[in-house]
Amino acid sequence: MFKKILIPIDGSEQSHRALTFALDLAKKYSSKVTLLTVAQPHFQDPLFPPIFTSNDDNSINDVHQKILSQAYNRIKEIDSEIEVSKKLVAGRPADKIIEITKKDKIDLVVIGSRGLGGIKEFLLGSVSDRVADHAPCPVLMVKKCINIS
Amino acid sequence: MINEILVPFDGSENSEKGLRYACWLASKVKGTITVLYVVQIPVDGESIGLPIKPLVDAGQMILNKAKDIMENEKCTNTKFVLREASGNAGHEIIKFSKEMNCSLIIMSAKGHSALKHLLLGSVSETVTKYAPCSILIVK
Repeated sequence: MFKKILIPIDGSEQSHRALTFALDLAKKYSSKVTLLTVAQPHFQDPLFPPIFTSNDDNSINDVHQKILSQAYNRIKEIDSEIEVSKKLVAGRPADKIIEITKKDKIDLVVIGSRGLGGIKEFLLGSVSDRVADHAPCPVLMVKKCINIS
Repeated sequence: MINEILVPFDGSENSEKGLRYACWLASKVKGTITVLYVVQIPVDGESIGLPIKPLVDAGQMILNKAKDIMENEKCTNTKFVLREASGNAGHEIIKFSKEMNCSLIIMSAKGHSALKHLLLGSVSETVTKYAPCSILIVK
């Protein structure tokens, strides 16, 4: 039932927790794991081009590659037998996560949630909430209070 | 990592799905399941003389339905809890999850009350927002 697990990561503490949680499941169900980071390119308005231009899309790419390989190494440290694939895409995080969930026929998404709650969440929005809303498969939202044993 | 699983149940088809999913998960990770039904009492229902007992009885019947499902799935080691609360059932679920200190809540995206166009029902939305532990949303 958990043949394919998708773990969207962004390098935050929450996504680390999600990773640990997901690995625990992946080991028990011997599932394939897909690591995903979504790089969000700088917003560019065609009418108002930015005054200060910098060519740092490459550096964004580098940062995400680094996050990916760190997570990859961590998985291999914990259990080298888990089948892992890495993915780096560009776009809006929630949309891309949902898109890949559909395309790759993922069975479970394990995603970290900051759990801001209330007004903060209303204002800032939440990637994990959007994924939970729109993903076709079960979504496991890992919150901060889990005790990692 | 997953030991105590809380499954809020409202008797709807969707929540049955959540229950089956929990059974399947618990069997592998060796967790214990607690099924919770919240009897929603209209605010101040008791003081204006609304009979509460039929509501509680109906809740007990729904819990019995959950018991049957669990027996069918051969899922032993399960507790069944009935709670009474006025207002949104979600807040009672959260209160209970804090009391029992569970590590995972499994619930369906929609229960009874959700309108068709809503993606998450009001109860599951409340729970995802304020839960102290991780949540698995079953579709």
